[in-house]
Amino acid sequence: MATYVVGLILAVIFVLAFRHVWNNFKSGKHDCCGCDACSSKAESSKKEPCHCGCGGTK
Amino acid sequence: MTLDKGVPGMVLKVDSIGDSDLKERLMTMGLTPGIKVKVLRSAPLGDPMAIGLRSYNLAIRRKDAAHITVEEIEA
Amino acid sequence: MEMESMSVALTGNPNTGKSTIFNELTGANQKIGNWPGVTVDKKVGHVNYNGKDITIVDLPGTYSVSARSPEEKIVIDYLLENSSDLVVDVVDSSNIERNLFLTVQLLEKNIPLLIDLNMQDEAKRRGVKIDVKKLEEALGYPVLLTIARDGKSLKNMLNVFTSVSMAGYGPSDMLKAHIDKVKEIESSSLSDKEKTEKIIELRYDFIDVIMEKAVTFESAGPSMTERLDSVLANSVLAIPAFLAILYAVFQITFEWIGQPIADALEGLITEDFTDFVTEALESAEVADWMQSLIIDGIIGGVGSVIIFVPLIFILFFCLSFLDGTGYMARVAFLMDPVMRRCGLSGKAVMPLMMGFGCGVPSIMGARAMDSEKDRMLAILAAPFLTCGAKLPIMALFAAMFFPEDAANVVFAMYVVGVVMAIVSTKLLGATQFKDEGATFILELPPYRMPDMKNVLLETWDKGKGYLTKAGTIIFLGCVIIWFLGVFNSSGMVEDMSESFLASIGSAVGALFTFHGFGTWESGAAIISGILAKESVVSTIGILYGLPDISAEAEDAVETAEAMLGTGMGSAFTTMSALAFMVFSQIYTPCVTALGTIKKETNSWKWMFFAAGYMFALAWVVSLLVYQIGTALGF
Repeated sequence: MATYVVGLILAVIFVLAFRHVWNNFKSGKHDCCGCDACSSKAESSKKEPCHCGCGGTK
Repeated sequence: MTLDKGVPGMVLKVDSIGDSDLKERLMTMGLTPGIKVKVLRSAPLGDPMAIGLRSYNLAIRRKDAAHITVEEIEA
Repeated sequence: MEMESMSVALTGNPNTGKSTIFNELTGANQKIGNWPGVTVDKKVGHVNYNGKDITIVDLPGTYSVSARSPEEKIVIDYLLENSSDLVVDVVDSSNIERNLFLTVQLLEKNIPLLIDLNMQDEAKRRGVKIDVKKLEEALGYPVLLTIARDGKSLKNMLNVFTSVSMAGYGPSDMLKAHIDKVKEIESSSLSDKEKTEKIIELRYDFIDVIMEKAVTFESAGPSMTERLDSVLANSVLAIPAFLAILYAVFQITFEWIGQPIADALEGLITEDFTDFVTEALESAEVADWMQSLIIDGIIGGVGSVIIFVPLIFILFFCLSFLDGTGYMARVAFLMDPVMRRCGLSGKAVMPLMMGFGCGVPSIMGARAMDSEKDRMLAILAAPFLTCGAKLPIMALFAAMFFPEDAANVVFAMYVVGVVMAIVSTKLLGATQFKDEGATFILELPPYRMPDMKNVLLETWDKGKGYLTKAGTIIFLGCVIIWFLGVFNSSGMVEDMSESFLASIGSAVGALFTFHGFGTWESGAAIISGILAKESVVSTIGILYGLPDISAEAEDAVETAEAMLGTGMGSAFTTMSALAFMVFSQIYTPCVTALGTIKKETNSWKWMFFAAGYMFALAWVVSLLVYQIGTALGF
């Protein structure tokens, strides 16, 4: 029983992590240092500017 | 003389910037004809050079400074 | 009650304390995004004051708005297209003359400005006196005084933001006359180049008049910057001073502060946390394989990456701090001839220093280069440096195989990275790119004590990405590696050496037979490293089940025992460990960096070239290290 519960929790985390990586890949941004292209599309669909990892350099 | 011949401590007046790809950028940074510049120092290996103008400091390579003609006003 | 909202845009030259003002006003309440289509940071923050919700946009710092660079284009497009309620031009009072160039250029374009004379304290020290009334009269726009870090002056700034009415201001007669002259030149028959130059001269003529009216200089003796530069940019001392500062950054990261915290964290994860989880899982009677997945796969893998988070944060902190002092510009100044001999520009030093944190901002930062050739070469040099994700590999191997001088070996690996970057740049510069006239203009800003809030925000901003990666891509990698490690086509295996992972790993490992690390475990680690360099360590962590990576290498005997216990000790000799470190240092960058190379060069060709070329180079150099090292009897 406990195995299934733990397994389910892990599966959920796995899916969430995968979604994060997949979304990053699709939108071309990355966690390390400045999202490269929060594209203008993503920009207009959200009210706030898109948010990503560290800012990169000037 | 040209700016690249300047030695630290010299105060110079710029006559002309001379034509180069850098001209517009140098002028934007305040290096315009008539302005006073002070030669501050050279980098450890002799190049680039640091100059003071309009109360701030700027580094340029001697090769680029060679296009700028100046007149010495104080040693 | 609905709060009234207003928008404020901050513009100004670089090095004026604009970002400090932005950070002080908005604190953690800010988001860093991207301007559409270009990789320039877009910083937007909020502050509530006097019942108003103020949105503040921090525009990139520029010397002018002639739209020559992406940054300049962003500034002018934003100001012309968006109707901010208030545009604040942040001016460094101690350097007002050149700062006014941007001010005048913006005013010519009919953008009403609130002029903020910042750095009042510094101006006072340098004997610069500005008559606010006269400056307001000369331009026709309101002027505000601030000291960036002073709470009172920031509060006053917010007061002005919420109360000032720009409608009451307009260009002075002097400014109108100047604008007329500019228009006259624009409509004249001169060539575009002549027009631009004439207008620049006009602006400075106008600024000279303003300076005459409103600014006086008192001699204040040599400034702190002068005195510091006479040492730090001195022709004899500058290079030793630079090396000493670099060395200090290393010591802080690897000896004094970073490593002790990492050690404590390691104890917490490998002992307390692992024990706790093991007990919990056992008492809940979770199946053995699931326990192994969690303990060996996830905690072992992700944990081995988390341990290095303190090192990464400390390193980022040091780099942000140095950047804030203005010292980085001196580094570019004194290293320019060296960098030029290597085929790069002195300006590449700054982005490349960032490469010690992460290759991605380093590759993006190459945009600061003055020529296309310099930019391409800097992009292709950046991945050779020891980024924060390679650091765990070096730290782990050094602690295990060179317990006596771990810090020195890690330092040596940094040197290897730098040397390879130089060699490769030379090689590519001579073979792949034709020579262009390279140029170099750089402001040497005054030295300043960096604003701690700025430094901390920047550190957090960059380090955060590393943490996110540990929780996502590294986590995924660990789970996948664990599964690959316990299964093969016929089901679960007892011995990892019969698993899928072993088959894949041994195919790759075979490439390294003559490097001394032709094992399937290293093969697997190397492949996973292309996903993310941290994965090399997490994969090794899973495969060898490292119980206790003792980085507190004081007790060599204890470390040696720990090594023997893991199988990793017998898998590598000192020399093959060194060869592995060298290989990891140089080979194919992670997918993120490759993606950035693709984006920045706008070419698949260059991306694949970088991936293949760096792998080949690493293979050769690592082979040489191992073969020569063993031949010499090490």
